[in-house]
Amino acid sequence: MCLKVVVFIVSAFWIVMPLWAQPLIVADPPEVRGPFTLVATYDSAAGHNAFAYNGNTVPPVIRVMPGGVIKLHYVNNLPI
Amino acid sequence: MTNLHFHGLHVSPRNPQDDVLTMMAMPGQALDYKVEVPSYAAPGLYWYHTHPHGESARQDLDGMSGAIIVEGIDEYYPQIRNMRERVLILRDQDVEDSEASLRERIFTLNGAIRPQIPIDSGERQFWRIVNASPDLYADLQLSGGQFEIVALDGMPLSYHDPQRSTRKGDHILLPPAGRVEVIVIGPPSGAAATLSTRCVDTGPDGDANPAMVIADVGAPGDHSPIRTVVDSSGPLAHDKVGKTLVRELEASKPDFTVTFTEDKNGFYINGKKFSTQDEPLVHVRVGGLQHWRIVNSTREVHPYPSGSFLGLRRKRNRFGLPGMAGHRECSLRRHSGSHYGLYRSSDQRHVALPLSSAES
Repeated sequence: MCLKVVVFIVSAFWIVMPLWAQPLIVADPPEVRGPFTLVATYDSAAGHNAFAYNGNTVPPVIRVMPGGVIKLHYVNNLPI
Repeated sequence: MTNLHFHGLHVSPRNPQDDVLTMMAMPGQALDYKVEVPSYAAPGLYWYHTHPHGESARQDLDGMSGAIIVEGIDEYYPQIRNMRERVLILRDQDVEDSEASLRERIFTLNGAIRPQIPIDSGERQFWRIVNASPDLYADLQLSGGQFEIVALDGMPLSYHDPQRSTRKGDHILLPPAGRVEVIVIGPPSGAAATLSTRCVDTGPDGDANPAMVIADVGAPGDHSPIRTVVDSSGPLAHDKVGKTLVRELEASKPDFTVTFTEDKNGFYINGKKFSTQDEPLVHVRVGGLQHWRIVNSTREVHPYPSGSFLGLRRKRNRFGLPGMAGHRECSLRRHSGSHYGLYRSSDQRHVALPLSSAES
């Protein structure tokens, strides 16, 4: 009897839980409008290579005016 | 090793700009780029990604890419100034289907699997979408809605035709490296909508490219800021080509014919195996117009980025694909099909088209 109650509660929670879950909102990438540093690195948490910018592994959107200059210091920190 | 390519920008291929051949950083090394964007650059969406030959596909698949925006598109289409702007980057990711014991590649959007794109009912938003996947095609559609296309591959539609600012489409084919800038309208209140890709038939030898949902659309809430109007980028540039000249060129014998084939050993151009060390096949004059014939004799679709060239007009043959009309930097050649194009070189000096330009 007790087991049935537990199963019922767990099942009900499993069905209703998605209704409470917050949707994953699409993230706006960071932006750069001047000189910046981009790092090629290995993201051990994700298990693959990545671009790192400003402490995060989210590559920035480069915004530039016509006639402007993109100045970028690119560092290769990939493993050998 | 790694380096960077500034895809679609009409900039110098020499160090310290868009040089993917001699600029190379080994682990522990660094590169300094100083990329001079021309004053005549079409305002729109471009992108950057790694480009070391032999490793770029893996690094691109890892997500080593990002968007570039050349400002000023709102001068071509001022209606976007009061809209929310979203930069949406399609990448792909390997996922494991444990039940079927299969590994599949799916699209992610800004690094997330099937996120929600907030938009109010009836709200018009300006979406700037780049397909940064190394080889997945996206045939984008919005359930219950249309795209109002403002620009393709960084080129506002009105750049070549001031009378034509936008056009509408139910779906848009976006090959690897393709970009599109569109206006979308939020679905009716309470309605569920999705941004998805249709199945793309890439030919008998092509990779699987199934339909999938990329994002849910419609949840209000966490909004991006309203697009900020940028400083004027100067007088509007238009590149109008006389219809008579275009007709004459189209009727002429092609200046350059290139035939692509492939087998298990690699890719061939005009019967010769592709090598990055080859001399240029063709030399062109800056600002000149040429009539090229591009033949795809393989059994799969190949995107063909034309680098520092602007595709001005194309004839579609019976293999023409939907959503490809217009001015695009990157054309698709259907398997066993051919394609005519008029191309204008736009670099700042005489340029030679190295075969490596055919790589994305």
